[in-house]
Amino acid sequence: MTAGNEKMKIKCLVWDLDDTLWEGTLSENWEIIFTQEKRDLIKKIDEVGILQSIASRNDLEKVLLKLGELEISDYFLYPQCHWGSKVESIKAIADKLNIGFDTIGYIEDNPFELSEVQFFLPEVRGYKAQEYSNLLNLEEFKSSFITNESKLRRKMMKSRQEREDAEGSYKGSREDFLKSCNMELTVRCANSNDVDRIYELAHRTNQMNNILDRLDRDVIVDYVNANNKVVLVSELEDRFGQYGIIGTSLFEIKDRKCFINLFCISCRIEGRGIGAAFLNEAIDSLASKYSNINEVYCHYIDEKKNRPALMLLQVNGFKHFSKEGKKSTYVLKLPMEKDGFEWLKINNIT
Amino acid sequence: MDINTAKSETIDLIKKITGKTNINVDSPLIGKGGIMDSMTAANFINSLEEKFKIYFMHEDLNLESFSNIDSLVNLIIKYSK
Repeated sequence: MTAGNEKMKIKCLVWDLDDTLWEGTLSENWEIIFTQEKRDLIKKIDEVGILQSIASRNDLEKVLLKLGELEISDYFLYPQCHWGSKVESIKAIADKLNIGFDTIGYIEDNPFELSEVQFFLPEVRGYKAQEYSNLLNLEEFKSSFITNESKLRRKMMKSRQEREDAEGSYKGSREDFLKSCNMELTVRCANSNDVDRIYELAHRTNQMNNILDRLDRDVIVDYVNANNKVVLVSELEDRFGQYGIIGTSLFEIKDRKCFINLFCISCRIEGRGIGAAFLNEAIDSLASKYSNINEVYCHYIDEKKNRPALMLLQVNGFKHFSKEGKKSTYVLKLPMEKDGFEWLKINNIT
Repeated sequence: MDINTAKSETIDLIKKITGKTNINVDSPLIGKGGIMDSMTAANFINSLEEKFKIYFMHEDLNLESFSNIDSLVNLIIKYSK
């Protein structure tokens, strides 16, 4: 099933600014030189779905003004501009974006700062400033294909930022806030048009991924077409935007048992109970369609980073069944308790 | 480690992770009526391990262990021995 060991792809490129993104030092000379080549590169990186941020020893207000003047502010999420360590900046960016250090690339002209980041955060991929023109040729920056979701990734993150800001200033309870977001989750069967996005989720998700098995594309196609297998996907939208397909689950039906061979959910939508809602709804759909199923099995491979997936199984009523090394099997006896998600409108069109 | 210290530190950690100031010690921590979702719970578990210098076996991270603070503290004490 597995595509083989592959280095993690870059999800976010963090730029130093002075003599890296632009030529010159902003704090000394407002008239820095920002080339068309760099402008085109930022745009291309954005188009392939790689997020971008900034880690710079600079005054944040001045940086935001300059980025606005250059008309490139929108490309950079959670810029970290202060006089502290770049290590702390990259940690903050990883935390805000909820991504692992092994999916961050950092480009910097100062060899000391580059070394410092790589010493304290060895998983971060470091690039010298002069390597900028070759970045998109590197394996870790390449994608086999670009999905609609990857093209919109930055915009989705901006929507999330707006939602977080709105939540921060909301005066009522969290449940009331979630209801005010007008979230709508659609659960449906996957079709051949969804294969690229399912492949992307299987390869990119870590936290909400039960087995971290990086499936071959052929395996997904087989699942979509096979009679005894079911692939469900979930799409999310709320008043801040549309998120496309944010989760998928691959099921196999054998006798009276259902096996969840993979479930993975984008961590960009965490904290709203969406994962639990999807899994709950997906299992309920299958139980209705295949009324002779009396048990649902799900493997879990313990890699610590995917503990959220383990907790998701727990909240959905799965119990530990067996263990072999790092791999465990969890089981859910049917009928299951159908949970209510009052803040969420669920459209089940399976 | 005595159980009262473990309990007090666990409650402090829950408050820090969830941002809640009032924690009902009888409330389930996860699942139906739980105070944490799965992502928050995973972060909380990582923080517990760091704080108490323990590493949970994943089969012990279940609804029973997280049914309330006392059951969780008992698990922490078990791992601390």
